[in-house]
Amino acid sequence: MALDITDAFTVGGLDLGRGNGISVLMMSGEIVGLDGTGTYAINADGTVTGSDGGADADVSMTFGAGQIVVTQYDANGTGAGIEGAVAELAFNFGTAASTAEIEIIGGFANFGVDNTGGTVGSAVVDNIIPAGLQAMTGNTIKFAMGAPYEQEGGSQISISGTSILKFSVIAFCKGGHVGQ
Amino acid sequence: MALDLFGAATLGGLDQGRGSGRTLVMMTGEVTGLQAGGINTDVLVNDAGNVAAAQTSITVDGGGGDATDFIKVGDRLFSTDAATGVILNEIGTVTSVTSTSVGISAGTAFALANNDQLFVAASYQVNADGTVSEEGSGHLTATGDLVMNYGAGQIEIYGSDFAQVAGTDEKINRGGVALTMEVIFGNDFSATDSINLIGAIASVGWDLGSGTVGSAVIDNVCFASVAGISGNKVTLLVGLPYENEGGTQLNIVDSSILKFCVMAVTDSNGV
Repeated sequence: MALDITDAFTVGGLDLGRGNGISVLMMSGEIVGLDGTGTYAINADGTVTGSDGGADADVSMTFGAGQIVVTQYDANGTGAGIEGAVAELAFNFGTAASTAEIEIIGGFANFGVDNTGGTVGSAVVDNIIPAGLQAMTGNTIKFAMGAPYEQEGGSQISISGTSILKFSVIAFCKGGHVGQ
Repeated sequence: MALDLFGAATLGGLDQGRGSGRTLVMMTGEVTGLQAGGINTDVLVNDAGNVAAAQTSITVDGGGGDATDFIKVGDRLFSTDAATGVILNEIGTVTSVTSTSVGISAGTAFALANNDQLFVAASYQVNADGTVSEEGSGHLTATGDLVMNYGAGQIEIYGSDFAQVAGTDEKINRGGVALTMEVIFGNDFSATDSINLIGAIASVGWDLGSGTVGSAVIDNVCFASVAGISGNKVTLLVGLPYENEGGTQLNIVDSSILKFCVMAVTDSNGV
């Protein structure tokens, strides 16, 4: 058997699972100023408010709302924090991390970096970035942002405060929506 | 114009596409005990004349002297090349086993050379209530090694490569691949009689230390590639811990925990 997480159809051997009413969430956009911590609140109108070292202009959203928290900057992934990661990004699908609302059951991220200091919102991605699943709790899904992918025998490229991360994060949540 | 994959709603500019009736399925969780899907069995082909394809019995040694300690009836049997360790072949399903022989009644799918490594797949069944059980013989597999957050079906792991770091006892060389993971959205794999997957994606991470499965603390970036989609099964190649260029590659170990999230899209023409 397999569980239909969207409840749209029950085809053949699909059993209706806990996914009844599951929703698809997404945030996509670009973020700069990764050389430090930053917390970015994105309201339903797409307005960004930076704090904890982050500036409003650091984030340009293409889609989505919530909160993005950047921590553990490490220019080339060789220092403290997750091995091979240059930063950690938590995507909170709400005004802040919470376990009292939606529950994320899965998600995926695609990352790329403009490492030449372009303009956030119109990045020209020139480096592949691995995205590693780190944690899922409540309305939060967290990914480790890998160091720029380098072919074997090359020289590891670092990121910097002017590097622009282009991201697309999709998550699936079940039940417990606010007001329900 | 964008195509609505599911046909569940036609919002705004979405035109209903060919995907009408398609569905999303997902499995998320954590798995450890990777030795069960690895080659630490150390059971070897013991035939100086080698073993041709389509043979129904393989003479073996190694593994502490008794192959039954590591290989059971019902196991999926794999081999790697003794000389280079770079080959990963599925030989067949074990139908009999003694201390010094392994039977494949359907015949070996590939030829084997003397001293080729043999190993089996770890296999877990997850029912609709989320209860995990061992599939087949469950040899070396512990139900507690898999903790599911969401989803049901079957998960199989094989070809675990524990020795990417130079100088260690490398018995298999899978390049940057740490293991193969098959995610089956059903009680058993079926290419024709169940749902038909048309696409899949995975996100993964490693807890390399001695954490607790179910509450892994990810300490290594990892990524996975879709190696195949057939019927109700997605086959993934899970990478070794991502290492920055010039760094030192880290190994996975038996107690490493793989955190995974696998989503697939099913077509509407199932059973």
